[in-house]
Amino acid sequence: MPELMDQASFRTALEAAVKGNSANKSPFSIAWAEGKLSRKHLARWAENHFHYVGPFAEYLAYVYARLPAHLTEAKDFMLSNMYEEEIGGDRHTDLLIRFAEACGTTGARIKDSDNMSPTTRGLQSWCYSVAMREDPIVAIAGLVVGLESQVPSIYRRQAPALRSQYKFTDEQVEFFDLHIVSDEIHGERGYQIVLAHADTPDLQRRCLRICEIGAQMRLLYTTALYHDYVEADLPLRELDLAA
Amino acid sequence: MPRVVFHKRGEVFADEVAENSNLVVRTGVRRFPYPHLTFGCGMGKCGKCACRVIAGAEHLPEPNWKESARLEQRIAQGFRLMCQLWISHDIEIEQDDVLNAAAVRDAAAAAREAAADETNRAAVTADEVNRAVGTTDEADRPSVIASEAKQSRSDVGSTGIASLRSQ
Repeated sequence: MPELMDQASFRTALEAAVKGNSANKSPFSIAWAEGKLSRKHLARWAENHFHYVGPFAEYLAYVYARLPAHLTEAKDFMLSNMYEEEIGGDRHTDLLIRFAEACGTTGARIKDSDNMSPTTRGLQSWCYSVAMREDPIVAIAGLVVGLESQVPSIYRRQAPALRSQYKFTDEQVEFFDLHIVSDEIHGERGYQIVLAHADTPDLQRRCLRICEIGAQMRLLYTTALYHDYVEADLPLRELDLAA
Repeated sequence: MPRVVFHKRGEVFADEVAENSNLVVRTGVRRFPYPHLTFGCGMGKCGKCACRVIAGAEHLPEPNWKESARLEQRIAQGFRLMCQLWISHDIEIEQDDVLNAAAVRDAAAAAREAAADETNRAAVTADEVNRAVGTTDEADRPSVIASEAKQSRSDVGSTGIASLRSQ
């Protein structure tokens, strides 16, 4: 029978579950950080990414509605996270569209859900499924710790290349800068909530598993972007990755 | 580890923070200077996290484009946006929420004025085109110009809402 982990051990286990499947390992992320993608590739990324992150407040809204009323602080965090995604400053998807337009695509193409790959549709569906069906604390582990907490580390690697190698302006890449701050807060608050409220061995086990799956889903999504849009132009051997 | 000294409403709070810390991120995750540092959007737009740097400014990078746009002449008075700074050296800062709110109101008023000017310019342009093509009925106006004018009007609305929110 598994025992309840103390918070420090549980946090270490959560971090390991995410890091083991970090999207930074995907060929798409590697090519991006090395400046080997074209603006056409980045445009396809934006057209897909919109459909993964665009409904993020909706995912969180399902969790918010199902969180018990007495978990006031956790509910407030979800509400604040939703607010910041949509209306706290600039709407985050508006900044994504600004970047996408700088890559050469259009707002209409980005918003057209027919332009996402089947794998992106799978990631979006997984997010909705987790939000609607899992225990709310497990859902926070999956969506906020498993997915959102990875973002600062991903964008810290990718944002410098966008300026130095792809020659985008500061304004064009604002989407990435803002997430380094906002998702650092969201990810850490997600950790704090999961650590505080996953208070049985079974809940801890389910949180760990869903973090692992969430990270796997993001890695799958990012890897599929490479296969769907980049591989024909940039084979794995050119990234020093085995084919 | 950098030591942060934070002045607010006549009180002084101080603590050490990890190298390369962002004080808005720290406050957002409930660590010092929580709950004293006020912040809003975390993206360099609202200006609520602005602080005057009393000491340690020489270790900070030059203000970035968001700080320049939001703070304008306040930069010369030593103000910086804490959401845009990653602290690696000792720093002493002061925050005045009343002053920040006034600056936000001023900036919002300027934005509304600029948006109104833009609307007027679009309307004038549309009228010029209408005169040139010989139509006065709005329904007959060239759709591009009409949609530009409509867009400008909607910009005025959204700016107004944003300013209300930021207050």
